[in-house]
Amino acid sequence: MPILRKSCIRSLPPKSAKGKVAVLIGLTGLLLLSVLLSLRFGSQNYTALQLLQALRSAEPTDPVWRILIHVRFPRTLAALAAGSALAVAGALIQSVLNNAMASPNVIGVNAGAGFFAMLAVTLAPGAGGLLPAASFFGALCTALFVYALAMKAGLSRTTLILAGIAVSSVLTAGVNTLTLLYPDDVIGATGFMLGGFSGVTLSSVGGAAAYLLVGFLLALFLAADLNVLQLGEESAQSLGLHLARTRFLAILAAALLAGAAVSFAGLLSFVGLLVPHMVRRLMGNDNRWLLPACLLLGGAFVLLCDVLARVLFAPFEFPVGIVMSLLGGPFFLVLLLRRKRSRVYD
Amino acid sequence: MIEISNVTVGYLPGNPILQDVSFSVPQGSMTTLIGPNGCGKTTLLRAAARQLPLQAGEIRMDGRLIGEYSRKAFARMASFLPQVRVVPAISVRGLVEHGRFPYLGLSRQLRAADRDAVREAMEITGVYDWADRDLRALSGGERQRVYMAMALAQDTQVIFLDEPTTYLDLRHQFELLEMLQMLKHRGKTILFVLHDLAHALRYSDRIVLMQAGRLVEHGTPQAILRSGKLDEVFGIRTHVAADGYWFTLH
Repeated sequence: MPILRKSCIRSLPPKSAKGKVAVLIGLTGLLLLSVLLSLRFGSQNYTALQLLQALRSAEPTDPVWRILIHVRFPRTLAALAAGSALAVAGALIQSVLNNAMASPNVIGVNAGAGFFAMLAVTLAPGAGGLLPAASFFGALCTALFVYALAMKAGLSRTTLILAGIAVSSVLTAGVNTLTLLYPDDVIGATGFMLGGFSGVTLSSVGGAAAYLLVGFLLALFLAADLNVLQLGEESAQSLGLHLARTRFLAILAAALLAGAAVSFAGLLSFVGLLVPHMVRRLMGNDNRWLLPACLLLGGAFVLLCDVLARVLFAPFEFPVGIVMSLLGGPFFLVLLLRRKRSRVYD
Repeated sequence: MIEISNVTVGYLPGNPILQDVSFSVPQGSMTTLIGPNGCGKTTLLRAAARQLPLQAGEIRMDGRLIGEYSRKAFARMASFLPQVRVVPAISVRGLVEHGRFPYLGLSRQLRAADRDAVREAMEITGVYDWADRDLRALSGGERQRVYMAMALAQDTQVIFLDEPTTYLDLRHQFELLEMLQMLKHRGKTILFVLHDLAHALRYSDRIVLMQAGRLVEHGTPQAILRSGKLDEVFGIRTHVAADGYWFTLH
């Protein structure tokens, strides 16, 4: 058994299309399992039988039914959507900036989305439909700003990350200022800063659905072109790739996804960095496989962390952002230390 | 056929790196750009490959201005191998398949004709046996052949190469130059930069000798050798004898 496991790990990422399909199927299985777990477990300790009965009878007054449909279902959907969106956005940003250290959180895209979302909440309270739009706008502006910095100044990869951190901290300070100035408008600001799904409703996820859908489709459409971009600017250009357009569209897709996720899930960190790296190990760097795999694993990872957040200290809830960092941090370190032989980027 | 007329190129306005350069490269021939470091060889090559905008003058391929081609059409017309290249984590076949990019439709799927072209390019360059190997695991000489395979898969009439023999040992240098010659005999038009004078004199049909952003001399290797301009430009002495030539410092 240990021999089998070792050889399996060693053969990753798979070289053949068949192997890659197998990985995708595996990840789909993991995602389905996470969805089931997320519907099954929560702060209310219902048994599987109770849940099934409630589902079968579909009695609107049944508390079990109500919890399942109005709490667990939206929450599951939100965790799935946010995880997928941030993971795909992370992979896109890494490709555009050709920088393995980049992610929507690191370069300030999430903070930009959060700042504009907060601004919308304080300037136009009650206009909930505005939230995803403001969030997307903030994400796009920040991403374009950091990208322009990278291009204009010809910054090195490390400097770019430092610049991103600076942008990120300015915007985070902005978010904090808004919460201080308008504490009444920004309910649950701590939750927003850490990210989480405890207050999420079907309508808040639904409001972001269009952004998510367009973002995912655009990302998948761009996958092959992003592969060409990996060959370097000169080669990509001589192959006829429209560099500026490809990069802009990829940033647009990343902003749609990250902005949508932030609008209902708050400032979830780490998914956008961790999941693309895990997937690069599982699947390699071909974006046509990488992006769908990020979509699946991103959703599964956040779902599983959210289940843990609900179950660990039930009936008290732990912020999912903390669980993600506690689980993801050490795992990420292991990935980095084991990367010696197969480096993602040189 | 490439016609370069009165071309001026620079990265900053008023500070041209290349000034008023004119020459033409006949179809099915090999032309080499030579000159000391910083003379503008690479800049000229990049301008012809549409990597840099012209400040003045014009470049035509097949009679049309290169700027008139769409990106994809130009990529089906001319391929360009830059000197410094990223080495991505990709299989040999994966890299060569990228050569078909300008032929792909919106779905970006390879068709049977694309696969045939990829296979043929890998066979001509002798990299077919490594198809599934990781590019990063290959030696410099092997990688160079894989990049050549990608350029061939692009199936262009014109091939631009920037110092393709740098970092290769002598045997690999010859192999590459022989391969280029074979491609020329198949009708490809080749314009490239070489550092090695002996290689340039031996393999080129025409040589463009450059200095400080200007064209000094343009002609056959024999004419260049006898013109005495090599001595001027490189600060060396050329000795021509009945059985060959050699260079000395003084």
